[in-house]
Amino acid sequence: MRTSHVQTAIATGLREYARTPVLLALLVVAPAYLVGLFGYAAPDTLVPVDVPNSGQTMVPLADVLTVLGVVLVAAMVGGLVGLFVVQSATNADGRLVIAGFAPASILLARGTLVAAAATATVSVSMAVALVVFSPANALGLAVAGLLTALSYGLVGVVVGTQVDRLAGVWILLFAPLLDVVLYQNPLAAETKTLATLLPSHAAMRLAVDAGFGSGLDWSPLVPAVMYFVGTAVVATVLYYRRT
Amino acid sequence: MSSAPQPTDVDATREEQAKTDGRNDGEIVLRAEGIEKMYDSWYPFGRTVEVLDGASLEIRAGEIVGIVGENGSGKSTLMQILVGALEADAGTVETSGTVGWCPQKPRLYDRLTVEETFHIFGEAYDMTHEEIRDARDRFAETLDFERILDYQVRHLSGGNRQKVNLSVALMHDPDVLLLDEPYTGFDWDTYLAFWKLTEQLTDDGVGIGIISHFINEQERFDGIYELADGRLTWEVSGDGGDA
Amino acid sequence: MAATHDRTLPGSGHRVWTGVRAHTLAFFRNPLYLVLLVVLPLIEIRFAGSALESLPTAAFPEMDASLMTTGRLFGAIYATAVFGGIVGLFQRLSADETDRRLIVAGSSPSRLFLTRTLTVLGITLVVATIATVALVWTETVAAPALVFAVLGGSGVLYAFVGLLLGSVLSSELEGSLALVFIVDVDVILATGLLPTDLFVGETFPLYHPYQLLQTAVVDGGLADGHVLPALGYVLVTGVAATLVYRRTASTNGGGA
Repeated sequence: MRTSHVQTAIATGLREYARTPVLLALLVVAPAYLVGLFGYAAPDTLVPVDVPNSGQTMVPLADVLTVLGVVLVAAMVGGLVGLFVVQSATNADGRLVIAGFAPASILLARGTLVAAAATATVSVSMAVALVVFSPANALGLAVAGLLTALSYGLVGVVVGTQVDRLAGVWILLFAPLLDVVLYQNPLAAETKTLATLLPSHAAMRLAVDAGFGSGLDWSPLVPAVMYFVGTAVVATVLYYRRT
Repeated sequence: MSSAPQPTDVDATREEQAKTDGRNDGEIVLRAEGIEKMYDSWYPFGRTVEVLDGASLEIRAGEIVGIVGENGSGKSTLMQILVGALEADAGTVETSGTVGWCPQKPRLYDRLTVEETFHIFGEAYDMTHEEIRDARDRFAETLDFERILDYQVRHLSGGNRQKVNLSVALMHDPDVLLLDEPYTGFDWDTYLAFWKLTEQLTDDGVGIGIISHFINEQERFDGIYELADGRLTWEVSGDGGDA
Repeated sequence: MAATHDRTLPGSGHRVWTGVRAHTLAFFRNPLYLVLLVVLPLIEIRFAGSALESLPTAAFPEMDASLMTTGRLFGAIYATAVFGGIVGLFQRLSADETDRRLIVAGSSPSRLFLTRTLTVLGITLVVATIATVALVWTETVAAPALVFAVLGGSGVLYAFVGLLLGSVLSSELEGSLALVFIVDVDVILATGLLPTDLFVGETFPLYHPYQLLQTAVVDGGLADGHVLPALGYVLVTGVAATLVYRRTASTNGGGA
């Protein structure tokens, strides 16, 4: 894997993004819309939230939904971008591999694109969230969002190597909603077993702690990173086979 | 895939056969033996299609061979196997030197300009910046697309896209060229320019295999492989390859 | 002298039906789509009910139905809306490529639009059927026929949204992104998972259909004051989708 090849592949991918102004606009406007609406429209009713290491705490519902919104946006955007990044370029990527690029270079470049989209999305979400809400640890919330976006990006890559776009979009619209809004909902009194197996579980624990905890416990980062690494391995194998 | 074919007793027999077949005595630059490929559906009610069933061919330095067959006979599948884009179920492919591949559908990056396309593929071929520039200018002049170098691929007409597609296959001066319907969408002048280019390439010792439906111009080919029932049959062309 | 042949051409209706049949068959011949059409709504309905059951009811004082029921209704309306939206989006985008050739060959753009739209609506109604069956299977439903009508209407509404997005954005990624943000916020607001006193909550497309769905399931009737607005949304999105589709469908496919 050559550094120059990786640089070229990344630069090429970023150039493609830059030439898709509607996509760039959506990556900014859509997160701002969702997180902003959640924070603005929700009432300040106090609700009980189980905060890791702090126990049950009464917090405004608007703040809970803002935290949920940051993670949800990350999952939605990450998943779709991962799906389309692998789907749209696979034919040309395959030809580039035959021409002499190492598949690892291209995969790294595609991963960088997903990371770039994830970073942009989380940045916008955090910027809007901070207008309506003061989390206990903003960095922790941002990291949770980023991990969710990256994990879902890899899920998108895995899905994209196996099914076509229509089916992939169906799956990646259902998954974040089921995972983040329903199963990882911070208001849930109990954690279902299924919730612990889903991609955003550890990241949501970190997000809730970062939002409302008195002292951030970074230990959920370990399972979140492990989930990410595991998905990355699967995504890499499947991508190699496809190109 | 790129191991040079080694002389064997089989080769001695082939040399004799080559004389009988009316072929030149150039070095074999590509040899495929016993290629088999089946498309199998994992759905229980899906269709299994046996595309290639022991197909064998040779391309020698300095010759142009045509590959013909009915629609759906497996020509494009064969070519993808020869270049390494697809794995055969059985059989071997050996090449000496570099391979250039012009696929039927241009596998290019839609949002890169023509110039950027040359750059990224040139890097993949390990060409220097000067070599890439020279190749770009040379093909732009020969195939007449100098005015569209800064156009994004997605904005090109079908014919111009095909010119870029072909140029990307040729830019690194390969030893073997495999072209799948290379002149689709070409205007008459470009079509003639293409054949002039192939003459130059064969004079330089490049072996060329072309999938084409326009094999009525048989005098341009040294011979034709007909793909039927998964196997290839060699036929010497009428004029023995004189253009 | 050349033999004359009877050249009675098929009528418009027949041609539309031929197109609808072709597109629908092409869609349903993908076994994966069939599996997802059945499995995803079932999963969504089943697991949404289970997940929402563990939320505190005190956080949602305005919710009329139990959290379990709300979760299942959430799953049903979401599944139908999302399927309708995506099918509308993708059908519109594929029409750009393939219908253009038919227009050049002499087909009427209006007929092609009708063909695509009927295809989308047909597929959406299949999803609505599956969602209704899944709901009836998991929940006590007072009026299944009304439930089907409301879910079908919700799917149709978002099918028009999908057609509209496909016409405006002309890209699968951007269309999908826009759709997911629109429909997720809509369903979360409509079902009361984001309880709000603000009027904005009542302006989203699925607000009225959800009220109708709830009463159809729980009471067996249709909530007063919500039928006309729901139909209004369907009409407005339908008209908008038609106008924008016609305007953006063109035969100029040339490039440099």
